[in-house]
Amino acid sequence: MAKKMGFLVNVDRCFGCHTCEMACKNVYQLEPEVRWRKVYEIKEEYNLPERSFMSLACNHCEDPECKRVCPVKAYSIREDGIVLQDQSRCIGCKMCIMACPYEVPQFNTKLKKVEKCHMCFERLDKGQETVCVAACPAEAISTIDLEEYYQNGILDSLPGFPDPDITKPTTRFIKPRTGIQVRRDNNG
Amino acid sequence: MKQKVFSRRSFIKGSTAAGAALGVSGSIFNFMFTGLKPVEAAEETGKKVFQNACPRNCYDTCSILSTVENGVLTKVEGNPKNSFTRGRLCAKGNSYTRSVYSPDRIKYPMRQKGRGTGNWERISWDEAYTEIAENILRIKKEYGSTLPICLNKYSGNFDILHYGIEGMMSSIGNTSRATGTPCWPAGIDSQTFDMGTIYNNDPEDLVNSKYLILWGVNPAWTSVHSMYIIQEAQRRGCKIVAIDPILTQTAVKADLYIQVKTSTDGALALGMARYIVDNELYDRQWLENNSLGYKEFIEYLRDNITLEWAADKTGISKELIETLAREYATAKPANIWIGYGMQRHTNGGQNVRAIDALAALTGNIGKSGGGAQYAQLETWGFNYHAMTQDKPAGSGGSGDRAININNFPAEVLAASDPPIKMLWIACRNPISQDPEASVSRKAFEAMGLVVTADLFMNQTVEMSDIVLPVTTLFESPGVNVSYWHYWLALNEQAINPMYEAKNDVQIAMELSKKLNELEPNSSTYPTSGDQLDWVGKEFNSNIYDQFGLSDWQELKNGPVKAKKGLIAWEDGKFRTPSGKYEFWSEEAGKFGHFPLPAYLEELKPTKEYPLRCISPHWKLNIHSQFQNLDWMEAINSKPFIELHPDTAKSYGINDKDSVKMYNDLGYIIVPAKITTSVPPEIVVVYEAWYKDKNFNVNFTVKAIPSDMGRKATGMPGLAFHDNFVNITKV
Amino acid sequence: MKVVQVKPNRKYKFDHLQIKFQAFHLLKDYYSGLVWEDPEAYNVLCQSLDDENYFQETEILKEGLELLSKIEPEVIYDFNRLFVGPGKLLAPPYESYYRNYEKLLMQKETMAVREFYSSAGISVNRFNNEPDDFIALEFEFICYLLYKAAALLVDDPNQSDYYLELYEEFLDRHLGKWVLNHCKDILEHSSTELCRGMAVLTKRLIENEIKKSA
Repeated sequence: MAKKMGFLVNVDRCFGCHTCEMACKNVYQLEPEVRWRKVYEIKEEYNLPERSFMSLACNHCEDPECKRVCPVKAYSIREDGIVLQDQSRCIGCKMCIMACPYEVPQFNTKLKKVEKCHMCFERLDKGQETVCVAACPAEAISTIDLEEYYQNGILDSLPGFPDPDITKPTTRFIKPRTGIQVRRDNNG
Repeated sequence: MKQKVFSRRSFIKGSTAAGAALGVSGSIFNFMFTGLKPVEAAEETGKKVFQNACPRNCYDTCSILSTVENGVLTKVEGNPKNSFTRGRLCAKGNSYTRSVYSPDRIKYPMRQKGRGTGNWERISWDEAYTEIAENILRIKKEYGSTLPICLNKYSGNFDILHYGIEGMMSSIGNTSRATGTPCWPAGIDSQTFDMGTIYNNDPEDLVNSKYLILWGVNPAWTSVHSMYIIQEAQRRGCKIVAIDPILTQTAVKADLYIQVKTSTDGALALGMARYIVDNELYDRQWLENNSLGYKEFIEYLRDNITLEWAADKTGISKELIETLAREYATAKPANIWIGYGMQRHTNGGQNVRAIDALAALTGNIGKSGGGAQYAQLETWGFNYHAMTQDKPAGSGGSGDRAININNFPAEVLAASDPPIKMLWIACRNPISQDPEASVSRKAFEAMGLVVTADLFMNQTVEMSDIVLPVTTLFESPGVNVSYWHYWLALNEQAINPMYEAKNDVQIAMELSKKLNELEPNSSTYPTSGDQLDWVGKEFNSNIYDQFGLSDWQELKNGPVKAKKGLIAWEDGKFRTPSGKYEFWSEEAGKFGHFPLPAYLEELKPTKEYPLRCISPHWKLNIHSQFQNLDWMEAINSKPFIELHPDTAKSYGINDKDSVKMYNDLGYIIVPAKITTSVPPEIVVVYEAWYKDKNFNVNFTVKAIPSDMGRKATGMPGLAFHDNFVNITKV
Repeated sequence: MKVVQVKPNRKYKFDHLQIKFQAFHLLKDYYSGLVWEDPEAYNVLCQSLDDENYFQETEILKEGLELLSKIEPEVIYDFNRLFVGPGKLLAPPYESYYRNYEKLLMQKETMAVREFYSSAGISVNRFNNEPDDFIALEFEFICYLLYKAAALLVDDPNQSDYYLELYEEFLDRHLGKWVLNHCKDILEHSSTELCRGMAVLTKRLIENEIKKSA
């Protein structure tokens, strides 16, 4: 059976240090404003606004909007589910940027073309971890084959993550546990 | 190269020399290579991997592998041989290629015509050395010593060879020295009084704890690799408790977070101790065998401390203090990690002593999974060969003069007989990072010559006369250890120094040469020597023994970890005068402190300045380093002030409103960030240097000393977090 | 130093090469800082360019040369703020700054210049100390190619043409791809007539050379 690769983001482990996105930038030497991976604050529900994070890159969706709307067929899905974008085809029309619910495709103003996370497919093919996975000090990110992987309590969405029904992202989450907080304000 | 300032005259047209120089006919011209050359032999190519170590003032001191292709640094990654960092870096470490090859690096020695004017001219190294050396010799002649020359060097680079800067100063005679440390001295003294020195368990041992209190420490931001170990301990069943006035990133990951009132940590610890004593949860046998004065301490607790008092002081309920004390005293082994933030108060030293006492009372010291962790200097037993230099004969003065680093500008201005006339700044950005930034500027203005060695333009360079370009960690060799973990790493020279950058030892050697040219025997510093050989000269048999090495060159294969001494005080041989853990410390008494860990009243806000400003570390920088890089700016590009919603409401401030934070010293204007991570009585502004922004939280920070620090570091620490301010919407 | 003597029948082409050489040589001296060591030599070069009225291309340099004659004493500070430091450079004189994604030095764009030099048998003196794509080095390389083309003009016209092809290719693949943006930065940030004048001169020269080779 074909694989279905996705990122598993363990929000319980993540403490928002940004090493994943910096390591990605370091290895792929991205332009300062281009962020293939971004660490988002989870703004609702868990702990406190700026204290829980989702580290997100491309969600390598099963029904990717980017691929559907691209007029020059720059997007393709590999057999293992990784969504690739062929930058040589890209005409910089930004349709994919508008279509992606997760704001994944990034516009490179120098090249006037779009780029995005490719799940380090060349590294995966060599049996190596993706850059973000290898770099994370908390071991909070992993890549999983959704056809094989099962663990209790895995979620396909978290507050602030757009509705997964639209494009069927392959990213999965483990939500944070919350300890007891004894605070001296009214909210404590 | 020597730049001349153009005059209009030299540019007047119609020079008669023109024809002669170029050939009149226009049919002759010539070419000479200057910057280029014909290829002679093939230049070194290919890919090489080097051992490096991050030398920043940070717990983690990561082992780095750097990839160099055709002489160019192309990749930086963690070294998997280091089991503490596990082959990973942090967000800052992953940005290193950006600083090495930033177009904005300082490339050449330069001289500023008028401090702060921005009118810089390029000079040669020889001109720089000449001007500096002449100035030194002139001062020596005029004042009869080199005491008017003052060095301010600290933590920008903790590589051992960088102590060559101190050596350079010693080699010219007695000088004035910025002495002490802003960061952590109160806590160092506390542990010195209690146990004889600072000494923590191997942090990799944290996984063996059953109960761990993170007391005023935020490793999620300041020691990411420790945070992994803490979470691993948690996964293995250890209860994690965070005690902090701020709900930090670390605190939200804890099983229990307790929001203590700032600077009352000692009251909490003493309250816990009282409960432990009352319920006989202490380890009497350990105390009998290993400690001095525990009975006096118990007596002090019974006479002076009640849980009601502790609850009132700390804002934590009596019941919770009891629960915490019981859990801590009964879980074995139980561990406490004491952060540096909680000792930046006028009672910080005593507070750390009270926390240490908890660990001792419960017999947790000297055990795997236990202890009162603060820091360690056990792995720092180098020869300090680069630093140790003889003073030249007849150089005047009877010894170096200590200038308190924590009140540096005021003491520089006040120094007399002789006054201070020249500053040498290295590995520091004092105008950004010291308190009372306006006094810093005044002190600089009073100098005859200010020399700064740095990588990038910053506020201190702006106020200097001469700036010297220095190497990055990849451009010169060295050796690094941590004040937290037990790894030793060689730092290899991976690439050539870019432009005209030189490392500090090389600068010292060449300046020495110039001084001796101008006045024989005026400097004792060696004038030549291979840098890598100098690294070798830092090693001795104790280090070899400690790390299981037979030769330092073995470090070329990767970092090594100490083979022994990984559990602090395991042998029970404390380095106090009595050889025991000292609840009662005569030594503390000699330095004017109460000999027991007693409560010292915390500083309180005033009517005029009712809010306490805490200025802790931010996750994307270390002091004035890293936050200025554009990759960091893509994540966060501006400073802000954190306010509790209730506080914001009472001042009529909304999120993102511009807020002026002020006191009698100065002010800053920053946008508000409203968050319940801070309690209502506190505002938080993270200390940092942002590129091109007139922001400096130290505009408002007074040089108030903390209670301790004098014994171990020569000067008391700084009460950075006893800064009281007011705010207003602007 | 080699002195080139040319036969009359190739004189016209030789003159072309010479004027280009002199213009680029002036820029090279300017950026490498040599003119600050000997303002007189700089003066002489400007002068000689100005005097070459038999060559139509000097027209394109006129505006720049006029600005150059209005010199202010503080020009050196302006020059340093633009190109040298120690502060953040206002117009970094390095190709990769303008072409690299991250505006860093010693990047793959720099290595492409290194390879180009190498294909012509040239390398950088201060190898891996100074970026190969430092503007003064690129101009020096251009001067070298023009010099070789001129030197071989009579004895080995094929070789001479080869160097001219390299010249055009280097302009096309390197200088032409970034120097105009660099000049734009100078004109935006510079406060002195001399630096502005040099920027105008550089801009015109490059524009004209690209136009011709296109």
